[in-house]
Amino acid sequence: MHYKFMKKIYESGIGICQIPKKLMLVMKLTAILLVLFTMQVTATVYSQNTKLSLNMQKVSIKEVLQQIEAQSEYRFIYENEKVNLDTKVSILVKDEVVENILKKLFEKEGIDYSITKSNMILINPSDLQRRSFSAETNSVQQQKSVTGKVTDSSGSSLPGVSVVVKGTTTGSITDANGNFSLSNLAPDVTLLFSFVGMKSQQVIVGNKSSIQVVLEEEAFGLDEVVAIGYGTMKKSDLTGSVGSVKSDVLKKQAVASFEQGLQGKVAGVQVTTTSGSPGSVVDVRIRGGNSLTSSNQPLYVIDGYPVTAGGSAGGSGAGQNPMATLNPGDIESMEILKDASATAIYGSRGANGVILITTKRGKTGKTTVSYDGYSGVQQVAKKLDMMNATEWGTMANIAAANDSRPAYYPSATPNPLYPAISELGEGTDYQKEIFRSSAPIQNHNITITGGSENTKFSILGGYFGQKSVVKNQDFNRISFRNNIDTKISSRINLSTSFTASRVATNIGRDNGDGGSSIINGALVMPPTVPVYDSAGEYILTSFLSGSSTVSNPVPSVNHLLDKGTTDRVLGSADLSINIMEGLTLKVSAGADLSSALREVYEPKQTNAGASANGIAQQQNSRNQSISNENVLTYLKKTGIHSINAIIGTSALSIQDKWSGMTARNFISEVYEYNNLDAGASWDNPSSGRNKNTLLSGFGRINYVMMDRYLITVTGRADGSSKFGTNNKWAFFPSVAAAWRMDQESFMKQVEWVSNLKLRGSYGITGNQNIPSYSSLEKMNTYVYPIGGITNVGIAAGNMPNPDLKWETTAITDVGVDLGFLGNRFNFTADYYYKKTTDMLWNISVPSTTGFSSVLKNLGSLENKGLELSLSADILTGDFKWSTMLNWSANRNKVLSIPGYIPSQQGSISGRLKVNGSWLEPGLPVGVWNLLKTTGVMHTQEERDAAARVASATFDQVGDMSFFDKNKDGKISFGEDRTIVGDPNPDFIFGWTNNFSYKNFDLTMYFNGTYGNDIYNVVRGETNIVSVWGNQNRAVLDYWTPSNVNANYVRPHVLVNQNMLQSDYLIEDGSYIRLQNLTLGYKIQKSSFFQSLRIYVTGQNLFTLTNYSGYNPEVNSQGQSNLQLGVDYSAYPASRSFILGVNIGF
Amino acid sequence: MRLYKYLIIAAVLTVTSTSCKDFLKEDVYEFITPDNFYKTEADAKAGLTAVYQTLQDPNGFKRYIWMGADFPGEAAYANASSPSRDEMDNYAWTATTDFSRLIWDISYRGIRRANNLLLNIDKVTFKSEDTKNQIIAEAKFLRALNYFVLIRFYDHVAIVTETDDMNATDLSNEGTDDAVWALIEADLKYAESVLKTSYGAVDMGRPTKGAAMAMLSKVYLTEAAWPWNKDGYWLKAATKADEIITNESSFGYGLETDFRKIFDVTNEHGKEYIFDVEFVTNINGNDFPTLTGMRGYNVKKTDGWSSIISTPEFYKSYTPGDKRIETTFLTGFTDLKTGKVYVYNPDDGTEPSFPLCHFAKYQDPNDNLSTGTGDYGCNMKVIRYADVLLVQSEAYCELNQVGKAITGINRVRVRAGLEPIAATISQTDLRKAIVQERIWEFAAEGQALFDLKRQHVLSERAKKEINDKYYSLPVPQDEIDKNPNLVQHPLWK
Repeated sequence: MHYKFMKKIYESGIGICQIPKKLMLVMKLTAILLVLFTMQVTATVYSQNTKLSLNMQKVSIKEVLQQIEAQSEYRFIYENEKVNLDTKVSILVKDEVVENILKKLFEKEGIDYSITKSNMILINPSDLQRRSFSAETNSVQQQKSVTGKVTDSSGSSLPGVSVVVKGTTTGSITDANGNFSLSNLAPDVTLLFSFVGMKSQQVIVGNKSSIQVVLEEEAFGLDEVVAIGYGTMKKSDLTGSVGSVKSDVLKKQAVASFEQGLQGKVAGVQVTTTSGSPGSVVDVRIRGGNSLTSSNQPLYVIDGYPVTAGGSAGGSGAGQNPMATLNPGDIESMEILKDASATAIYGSRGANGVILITTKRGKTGKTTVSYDGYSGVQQVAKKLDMMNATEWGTMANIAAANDSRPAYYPSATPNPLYPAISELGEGTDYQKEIFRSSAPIQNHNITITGGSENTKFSILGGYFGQKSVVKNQDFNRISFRNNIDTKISSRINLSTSFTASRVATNIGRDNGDGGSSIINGALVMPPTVPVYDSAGEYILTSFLSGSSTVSNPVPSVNHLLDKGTTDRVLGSADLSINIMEGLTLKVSAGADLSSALREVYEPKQTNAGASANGIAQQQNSRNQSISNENVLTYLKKTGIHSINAIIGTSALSIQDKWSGMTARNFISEVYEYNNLDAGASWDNPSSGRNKNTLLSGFGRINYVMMDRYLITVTGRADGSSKFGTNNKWAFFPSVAAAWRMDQESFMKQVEWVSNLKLRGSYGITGNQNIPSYSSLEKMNTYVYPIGGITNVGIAAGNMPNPDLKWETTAITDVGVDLGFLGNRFNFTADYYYKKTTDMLWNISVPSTTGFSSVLKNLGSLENKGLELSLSADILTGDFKWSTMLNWSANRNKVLSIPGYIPSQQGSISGRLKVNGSWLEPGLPVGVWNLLKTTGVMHTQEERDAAARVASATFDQVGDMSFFDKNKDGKISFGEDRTIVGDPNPDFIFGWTNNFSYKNFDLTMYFNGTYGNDIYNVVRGETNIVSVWGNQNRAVLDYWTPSNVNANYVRPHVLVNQNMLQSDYLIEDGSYIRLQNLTLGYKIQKSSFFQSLRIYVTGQNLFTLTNYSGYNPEVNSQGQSNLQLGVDYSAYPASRSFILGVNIGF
Repeated sequence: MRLYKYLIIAAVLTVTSTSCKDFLKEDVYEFITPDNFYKTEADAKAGLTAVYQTLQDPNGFKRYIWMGADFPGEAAYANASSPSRDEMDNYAWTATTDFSRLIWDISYRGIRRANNLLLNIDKVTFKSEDTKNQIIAEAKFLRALNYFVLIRFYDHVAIVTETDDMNATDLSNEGTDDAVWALIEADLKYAESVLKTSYGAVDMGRPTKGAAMAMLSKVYLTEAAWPWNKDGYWLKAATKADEIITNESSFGYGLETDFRKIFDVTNEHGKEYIFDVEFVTNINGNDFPTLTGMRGYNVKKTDGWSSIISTPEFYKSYTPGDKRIETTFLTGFTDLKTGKVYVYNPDDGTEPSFPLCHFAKYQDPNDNLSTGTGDYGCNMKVIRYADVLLVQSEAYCELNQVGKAITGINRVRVRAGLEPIAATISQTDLRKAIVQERIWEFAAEGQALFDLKRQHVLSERAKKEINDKYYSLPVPQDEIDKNPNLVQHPLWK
């Protein structure tokens, strides 16, 4: 059944990106129709008293209606087959209201009509006409009438639902209150209820005279509208690869930051929460990393506003995630743009993919208030099984004997710090000392939405509070959002989005290069070291000779003050002007302002504070971006041709300022971080400021012929201040085509295929995520004392490169979308090939220039991969089961870096002398080139057969042997290392299952990775069988003359450096995790509320993995490009149990 | 319809890119670009300060130049602190040892800054020509010092001056020796002609006329000796040293009576001072004392990492009663926590009360009242007056004028409480005595390798055969990889 709309106002591309799907579903008829066919939110303030004048002779009724539409804001809707509007009429009216005109027009035609508040005029055949129609289709049977009401799952009435007798064209549509009535029905008919965006439903009438129907939202409708850059598009019209995540999916997870909610939801998107610390940095990679030096993170666009990373104040310790300032509860939907067809419109920022975020917007109708909240507890998901004092002391004594040193714990005990083994007992469990036994988490969101015809609003308030599983750390966010859409006149519409938030955290020192890290301290501190000495004062560091100079973590969790506060305001306003039919101008302006403050006081109880007599620190960071965008959208559909075109300009300016100051040596501790002047000495202050600008012009044409041949051509020119003077402007084109095969006549017979689309795209995108001023010769300051006082010197700090430019990534994507059995089963597959050229690299230059390197565009790398997603409604009866599975595999390879000599990149731990990954053309980014262990030398024979290592201490029976690659009989790191690990997974996957039965719903969500390795650096401290620090109990199976078949080497006082530089630290990081299990129960509507659902959730309930560390989902190096899958004293994951409610009032 | 109105709005709002160029120009705030620099006298002075700054880089005189010259000698040892230091200690270094790269890099960085200043100084308007010449002279002194470091370590180095393409990536180091020496000499001669004999307190630390002359005498001495063996240069060195020594009172030079006073932070610019790399606590402190300091005891002032230590053998090589022992070595201390007194005595046959022989030249009790920061104020001595005296002795000794040669060394010996050398000594014995005296006098002062190199006595002193290549550092391997025109040192090929 097709409705016809006489007036065709096409998609403006503007209003739509603010009309998320779910919202759309519950809109009144007006809005639904607008979105579906007119895509224009400029419905007018229009009085029913508007007077019209017509003078038409011998024209069809249809033409008269067209004339009325041309003069007014009225639109007519009718069923083509049911009413005959071809009757020729003549009409002459002057200043008549529409009611009267229609009365005249239809009085003889047997046509009923009704006018809605939103100026829709629904035309129905009158009973008389209907009877004559149905008489044609129905044989004479016993006939009956039926009435009913259609609502959505929240209980709101659904107007405009088509109700058709199955197998006929007889039917009706529901009125403004969702009511319908049909008469003259055969008793055995089945009614088919359908509504765009909802799952169709069939009801057998039987002897019922009244039918209540609840339509459910359809998740995978082809008519679903998705946000694309600078506009929206029907999913069926897409030529690119775009993934979607809706609020209901996001809502099911208790996450601090929205990116975490993306994990495992969209094929090709790898989300790694780099640390279990609340509010920690999340690494998001869409189809692999494209760059070695620039950011590999996608561009985030919130309600059309491009959001840069924003502020996180400096200072040592954990990085904070600036995206966590946004309340995930504000989000209606997220679209992930993956291929060039989708991302080229973002030009020099598109290469890493784009995530478009649409927040919740108001709708016309009754004001609704809803509350979503949960509260729960978290625990450390896994503790490492470390040795107790007796076990450690025993090992230490053996180690001392092996290395010819006096025993640590002699049987006679002259020193209370070194008692006899028999007196050591359990000792201190430092993990227990720093972990909370249960840490609360809570979230409260209140959403108020509503609106009149002219103004719609949504107001959201949220609070999220999460205490960390490590003491003295937490994350709190309070946020407010206000989105308003208002009609200024019949052609002008204003949409504003505004959010303000504050994030307040207690940060703590949870990672870093050993020493002061709390986690490192808890693992490495020998259990024989008590927390307090005999005088009741903290023991600050391990006093055992030969052990790490690790700090006692307990004073840090008890006394360290480290507060982070980030305030952020993000606001934008879009003014849409409908210039003429199909042509709309949108002018947008916005600003993103954030301000972060970090206040630290390290009191005298802590190790760092003790030596400096108190350290106070304040770090400030202010970040602002302001933007203007102007987009012209043209929509036109004539006959078989349909065009959706945009052209626009954009200007963006980003500025950061920061400062930091540190004072030491405090007489009194009462000041904490509030009075730095009170410190007796100060570090040099630091401050800085930078700015970058981006100016762009862009355009896109999406052309669709016969609803089946689709072409998209996109281009964007970007000028960036970051580029060198010789390369200020870049152009990024893309072209894409798609073929909706299912629309072809030869496919119409294949009934079980409901959707079949082939897609292909090619385009060029860029990455301009280089630091500002990289092309310039920067004069830095250098201090030298003359006459005993500071003289500030100035000299060039780098070599300029006026040719510096963006990195270029060419993306080819071919994909297929398949739907079976009325889209009950959907399958999407994409293959892509991305090649990055002009890759930025700090290439070495001869030092005779006075510099060591210069940033240049050279080198190339590739990513290629396959993405598969499957969704299915497996069971659709009372017991419903739907499942969504996505799987993706990416292969990354560095192709070339001219002039570069392969080497280890960076350092993971200076004190352990553990370096970073190995970068070499021909290999993936992040691989490790290290020695290969060949096992413990159990016997003298095995020892003699092994290659010799440099140190005799570690070359005895019971020590580790290594693979002698060059077969020279000696182990040398430079010559015998091989590629021993790769942090890039073979594939990643996510699997979501939704079950429901009556009022119960159950969601299970799994995610995982396969084939990735983890560089478990902490193993180099805790599994090395050394007195260096406390050891994992696994190594109790160490070699002794009485345990020659041991899996672990014999104990030593020192650390075997060869083992630290070997695959001993590499572990398989594959895992599958039950990330979320939620059981919900819906309670029937009462006088207090419209809807109520209560649920319990368990997060991170179990993980299947061989990984021995805390958490296989890890990267201690955050979003680093070159260091992936590193676990160096990373924060443990938590397991949480949550009770929540969703209430609609 | 009011279409025209919308079109006007559209036109106005969409055409925002009229001034693209300005919009995309990078506004800089936190740094200066060459465009807005080298205009005022202050700019020129700041440019000069930046040339000084490379001296105190850890890779420069703060650590690596020092350690690179000391470890191959017999006084200083690396105490298990890093493989590369062990390599320097054990004549096992290679073209990939970090010393080779770091000293090369930092020296050329200083040269680049000096060249840059000299190239641009004419853009600056000066009130007085004297100021300009002073700045040029200081820059040239520093450039000469950097080249002197390079040529002494590497023998054959690339040369780049302000008149060359400073960004050139294809410089050669073949056949450049004469040009490098000529540049060093020219720079120092210019400095000598311009620089003042002394400065007021505000300019303390800048090179003086005497400093330029002292450096020049050391340069001549080096050119005269192995491996350059240039004719006539022993005499040039002797003459230059004479010029200073005969006028020592007008330069204000002399030997401190108390050896300790040389390293006293309150007397760093005393009469024995000629040129130092300056360090001031709280500005850019020195952590060399941390490297030589004692690990594992609570000594506060002398706390450190025991990274650069000495040996009982070297300690015992001093003549008993040599007044330098107390200053050169840590002979004892009190543990501040336990109150226990420790002494170092390698001679009494019992266990020394603390295990390793530590240097104490940089451990000044008055230095750095706050502890644990590595922020010490003690300077690193580039050349001091005793050095000039010994340059004179070495030069005259090589000229076989023993009578003149013993005057300098004897002043140094007498100050140390040792017997003066008799005029009857043979040239050969005097030669050995001068080497020995330098080793004692300048222990841990970054001189050892060059002293041994001039006299070509590395194997002799070490009492084992050491390949001649260990008189130099090889050209860093990655430098050769980056620039094929750089050739490796012939002995290192």
